[in-house]
Amino acid sequence: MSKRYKPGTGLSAINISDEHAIDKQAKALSLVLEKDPCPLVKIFANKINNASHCPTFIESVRRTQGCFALKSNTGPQSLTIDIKGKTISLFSGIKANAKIIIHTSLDDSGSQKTKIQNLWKHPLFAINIGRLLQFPKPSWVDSAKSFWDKNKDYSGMPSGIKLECTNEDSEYIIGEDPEVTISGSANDLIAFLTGETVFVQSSMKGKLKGEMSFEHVVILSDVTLQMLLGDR
Amino acid sequence: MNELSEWLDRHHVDIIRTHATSLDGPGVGKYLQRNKFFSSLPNGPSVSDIALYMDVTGTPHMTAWHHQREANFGDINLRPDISTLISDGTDKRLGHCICDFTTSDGEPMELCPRSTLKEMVSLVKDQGYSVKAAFELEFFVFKESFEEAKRKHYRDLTPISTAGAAGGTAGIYSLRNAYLLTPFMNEVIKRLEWKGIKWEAWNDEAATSQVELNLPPTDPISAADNVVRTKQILFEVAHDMGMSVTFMPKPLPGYSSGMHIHHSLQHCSSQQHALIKGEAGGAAFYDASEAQNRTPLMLNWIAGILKTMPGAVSYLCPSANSFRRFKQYSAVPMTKNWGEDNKSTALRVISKSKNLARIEHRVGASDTNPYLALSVILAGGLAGIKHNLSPPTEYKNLAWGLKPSENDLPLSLSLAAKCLKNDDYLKEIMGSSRVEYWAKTREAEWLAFHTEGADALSERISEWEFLRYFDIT
Repeated sequence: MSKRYKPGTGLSAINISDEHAIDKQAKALSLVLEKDPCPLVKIFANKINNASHCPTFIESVRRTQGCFALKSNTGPQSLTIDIKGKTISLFSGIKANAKIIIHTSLDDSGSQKTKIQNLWKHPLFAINIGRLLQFPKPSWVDSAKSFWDKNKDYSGMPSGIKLECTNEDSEYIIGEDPEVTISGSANDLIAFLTGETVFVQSSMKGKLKGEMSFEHVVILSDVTLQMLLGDR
Repeated sequence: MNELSEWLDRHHVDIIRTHATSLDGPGVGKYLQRNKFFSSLPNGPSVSDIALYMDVTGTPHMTAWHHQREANFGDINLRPDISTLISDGTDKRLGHCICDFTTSDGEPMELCPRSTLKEMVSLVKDQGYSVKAAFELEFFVFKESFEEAKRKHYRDLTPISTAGAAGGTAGIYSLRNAYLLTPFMNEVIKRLEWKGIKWEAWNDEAATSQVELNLPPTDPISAADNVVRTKQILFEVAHDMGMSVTFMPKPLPGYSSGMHIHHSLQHCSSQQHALIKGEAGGAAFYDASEAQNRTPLMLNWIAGILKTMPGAVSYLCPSANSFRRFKQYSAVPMTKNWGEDNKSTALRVISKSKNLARIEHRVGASDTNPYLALSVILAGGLAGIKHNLSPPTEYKNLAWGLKPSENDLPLSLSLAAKCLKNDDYLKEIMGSSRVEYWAKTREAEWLAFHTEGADALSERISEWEFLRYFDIT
């Protein structure tokens, strides 16, 4: 049985500039990325960009002034986030001025326990970082609408996609005459539709099930990768 | 068919190894019983389309689509180029045949590297010129077998020639080092000659246990065919001798392996072209009446290659490891510039004599796909002709240690892919879908490098790189 949903608000834009660019417009937040940012920096920039419309996130940024780093506890990836006023700068690697280093899973495996280095020195800062990193998420149907608005004209995209939410026992169709069916939990559908994960990876991990041609697997993986990296 | 049958009889060949080159470079093919080979002609044996569209680990490209890909891993064909049939020499029953990827209907595939090169050569011919090309192969040889090297996690591999080991000396062109390499290289040369593959010279190279092998100039397709065959022979000799060889550009700190590509244009033998443009078969880059003997064509050609060089780097340096080569004063060009007999510039131009007139492109890494590398070079030259481009001033100094400028080459997979996607000249000559597909595969390679365990910020070459690139020939 399908449920009805209210339309979503969509995602607002944020200024993303490289380190040499000048932001002339007064927007709520500004992002500064290094030249040739690594994937991790681009992924976090995209998460911040997607959250930038949310007043609670903007308030979290205001409270979380300072520099901290995230380090993978399963591999060598790391990044530094430096917040000064409304400007958020992202760098690959761990900068020397990072007050707190969070050792965590940077993929969605959650295989290792998170450890926070220097927690006892900066406990309030650590709490604020924790809040900041809980990026707001739209509903899965709003995510679906936004996904379709963004990608419906992409070359090779199926004419329509039937989405089935397994834990809400509901479905929603984007586009027309669905050529593709994808099912998964609300959280896994959101992760796919907002580009937090690449489609084929979710599919290989069994988080999403689907019925489609290999061509559509590739097309959906292509667009979700571009979304993950903020290129779309 | 009769001629082919007679050839196989004469050479006692009853097994044919078909050999094509996938987009990412590894050789792929099937061993065919003689009757099966005959019955498969002219389209050749069928293979899953993954053979063309896979990365160096054999994983299908999952984030790039092309209209000629099969919807669900369907079959395509390896169409034998019968003119390339040779006997193995070592295995008396075996013959080798180079193939092009085609659709199951026998249509050329846009992303087939060899077909891409054929298309570029044809475009040059349309302009009234033929091309001669020659490749320099550089590679490392180690005493450990491939299996032993892997067991050691590719650390502390035993070089064949190095300062202090078995009496070897540091440097380049060392005859002592070369002598230590001779048993291996003698076997390589023997097998090259048995197969009728010509070679010109080899020498001890600058890095520890590194060799340079020069193949003679010939038409572009044969030149690239000879590269992929030679790389296969090098692998086979290393394997058979219990050693290992790698085209991974930088397995050790210090100097790295490149693939310098020499090429020149000649006036076509067509009478019409010859009357208009010059002596048939004559050097099209050389004219003693022009300044520095350089024809306007050569200047257009240089300009086009330089203009498209940032995007071309994506093809010339296809792996994460190939970008580790870019260090000042490490014999690798850092900027898009050119100079007469200048080995620090990206293009080393030789115009002092008619017989030697040519351009040496020095950017390519040893793991570049030779068909695609030469294709993108020819495409750049063609853009120079088509748009009547003029080159920047010849660079006469040492092109290392320069201040940052817009001439700097892109130094990562992602930057090079971005340059390629933005290069309207290369898209115009090579085709947008071909170029964009490649750029997407390089972005996937970049993503894998950063997220699958390699430490991109470390100078230390990661085990991820060794596992991914060491064995790839």
